This record gives sequence, C-alpha cells and structure tokens, in this order.
Amino acid sequence: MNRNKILRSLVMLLAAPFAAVAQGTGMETADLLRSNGKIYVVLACALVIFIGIVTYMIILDRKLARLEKIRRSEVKHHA
Amino acid sequence: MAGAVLLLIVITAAIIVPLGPGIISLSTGRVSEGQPFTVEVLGHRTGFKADAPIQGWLLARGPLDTITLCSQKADFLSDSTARLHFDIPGNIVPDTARVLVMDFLLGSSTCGTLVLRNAVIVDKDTSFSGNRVKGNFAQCKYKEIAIHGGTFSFPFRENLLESIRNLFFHVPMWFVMMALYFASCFFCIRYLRKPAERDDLWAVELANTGTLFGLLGLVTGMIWAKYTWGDWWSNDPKQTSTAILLLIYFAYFVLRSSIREEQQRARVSAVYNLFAAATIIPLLYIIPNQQNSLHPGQGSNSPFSDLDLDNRLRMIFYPAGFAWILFGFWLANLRSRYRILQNRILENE
Repeated sequence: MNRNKILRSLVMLLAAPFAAVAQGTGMETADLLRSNGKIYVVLACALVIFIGIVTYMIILDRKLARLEKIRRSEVKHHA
Repeated sequence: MAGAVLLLIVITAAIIVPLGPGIISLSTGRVSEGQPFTVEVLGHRTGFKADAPIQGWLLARGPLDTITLCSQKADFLSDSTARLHFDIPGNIVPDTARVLVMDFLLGSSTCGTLVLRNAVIVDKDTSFSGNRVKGNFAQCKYKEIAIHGGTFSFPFRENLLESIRNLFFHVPMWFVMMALYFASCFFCIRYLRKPAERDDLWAVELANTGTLFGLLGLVTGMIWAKYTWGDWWSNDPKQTSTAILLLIYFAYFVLRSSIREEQQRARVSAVYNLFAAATIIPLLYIIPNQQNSLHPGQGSNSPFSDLDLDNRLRMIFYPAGFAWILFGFWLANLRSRYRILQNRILENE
C-alpha cells in the first residue's frame, strides 16, 4: 500500500511539468521549448526516455517483490 | 558495465559539445530596388566582437550568372546580434523576373562564413525604365572568411538548431527496438527447432523491451516533430509505418495472452513472431523511403549519407547507437532472468 502511494506521488511529481505545459496558453510553452535554440526539446525527449525506462524498472521491481514474498512464505511453510 | 560507461560518455558528449555558429533569423527579408536595406541579424553562438569586423553579402546564384551585393557598414550590437546596411541598386532585378531571391551570407573571424538561404526577397521597382542588370554583377568580391580557433562542435542546421542532439536520443531508440526484435526472432527460431521454455521466455521479454523502446522512439519523435515540423503527428510515412509495426507487436502479446496451454502458446506465438520480424525492414525502410517523407533519407537516399550526417555527428552517433543497444539488451536480460526464476519458483510450489 505504502509503496503504491510513493509510486503514485512519484508519477505525479514527474508529470507535473507536463500538466503545467498542458494548461499554458500554448504560445508561452512553445516559446519555452523554442528558446535557446530549441535545447529544451532535447531535454523533453531525454526526460521521456528516462521516465519510460525508470517506469519499466519499477514494474520489474514490483514483480520481484511479489516473487520474493512467495518465496518467503514458501520457506516458512517448509520450516 | 562497459556498456553503461559508454552510454554515460556518449550522453555527456551529446550534451556538452557546443553547437557550431549559425544565423537564426533576420529582422526583415523584403526590400525594394534602389532602397537602402538595413537588417538586424540574430545569430546563434556567433561570438561577434566589437573589434572583429563583420561583413555581409547578398548572393543570387543563377545557372550562368551571379549577383553579389555587399554590406556597406556593419554595426556590432552584441555577441549574437549585428546590424548590416546594404545599398540595393535600382536595376538589380532581371528583366524576366518580378522579384530577386537572394541568399544572405555573413562572415566574421569569430564564426567563419554563415549562410541563410533564400533569406531576402528584392521587389522590382516597376517605375524604373533604364537598363537592367544582365549577366554577372558584383558590388565587390565575395570571399569566404575562415574561422579562428574553431572548437569541436555539432553542425548548425536551420530549423533543427540545438535539437540536432536528439540524434543521440531519438534515433538510437529505433536501433534498440530493431536489435531486440531481431534477437527475439532468433530465440523464436531456436524454440521452433528445439522447444525449450527458456527460449520462449527470452523471446517474449526481448519483444517486450523492444516495444518499450519503440514507444519511447515514437513519443520522442512526436515531441521533436512538434518543434521542427510543426505538428505532433503529420502522417509522415515513417511515423505511420512505425505505428503499424508497434501494433503488429501488440498483437503478439494479445495472441500470447489468449492461449492458455503453455507449449501451444510458445509455438504459435513463435511462428507469429517470425512473420512480425519479417515486416520490420519493409515497414521501417523500404516502404517509407519510396515516398516523400519529412524524415531524412527519403527518395531512396541512404539516411546516413553525408547530406544528413556530419562526421562530427558520426563520431558520437555510432557509439551512441551501440551503447543504447547494449543497454536495451541488459534490460531485456534482467526481465528474462526474472521470468526464468519466476517459473522455477512457481513450479516448486
């Protein structure tokens, strides 16, 4: 449960800038991403990749945790 | 391990190598014949200096003749802006044309010679009745200015600007996806030759991770497209066909989840996987390259030609592709090992 909460808040934290972008008037956000020679486009793409891979790892983490739980109960059962 | 280090080096290089100098825009691009033309130039990393002279040219290159106009005066404004003054002759637009489209060139020892193509349009003064320019015409001689102390930098491309660095993030995603899909196909062949549960699990996890990278490639591509092509999705042939490819692989997972019996599932999905892998090359290369595409490499050009890829980019691009592929295999490896372990534990139960 606790892990679930942490995960949700993490996702929200990461999504916050995008939510802010979505609420902007369009022009402003376009200006930010176009400013300084469009360097923020690279930042956005790198962030997407980072978030994607981290999410993938978190899913694997949770699967492993589930497996560990099964294993633990099994060991207890045998003992 | 070595892959992780290489990835780190490559990403660092992708971020810290500066972009070469270039012209982003001019304050105005339209002038009439016989008028003085004052224009403010917005450059990128040009590093103008007050004591380094700046020279501007307007060039119109026809098949046989060249018209060259030179700036009479250039004011230094800041390290990335300058103001140039031209005198446009009253008879410069040829008889046969209504306007003259000219390239804008700017040279300074701090940034070398920079070009903004088709940047200035000269309107014809219809009230002028004298003789018009024929053949070559030059107010002065155009000469290229060499750069002093150039550093290693990425080439400046109009419209792309700094986002050229996405070459090391967006493009390798597709390399990883293809490598993982082909590896998945390899394990399917192995499974079909000699059924082993291990190979089936490897195949599905490789395809799974490949799909992750495909989705990342699609999303990063959409972001990049928005700020260079103007729209998130422009139905570019490559965009469409990669979306189809991902759907084909989604169907692979749907197929797997719809068969309960394990060996049958492994066998049927392995056969499907072979057909899915066979569509990769036609969908990603053959079909899109024969159509007009916004992507580089359209019209059956190689996307890795000198036109699109600079040697400076290649030095980082190839290691980047390699490093990302290693990283993708590592992710798939973790997933497969987990699946094999899971099966073993569940069997013991």
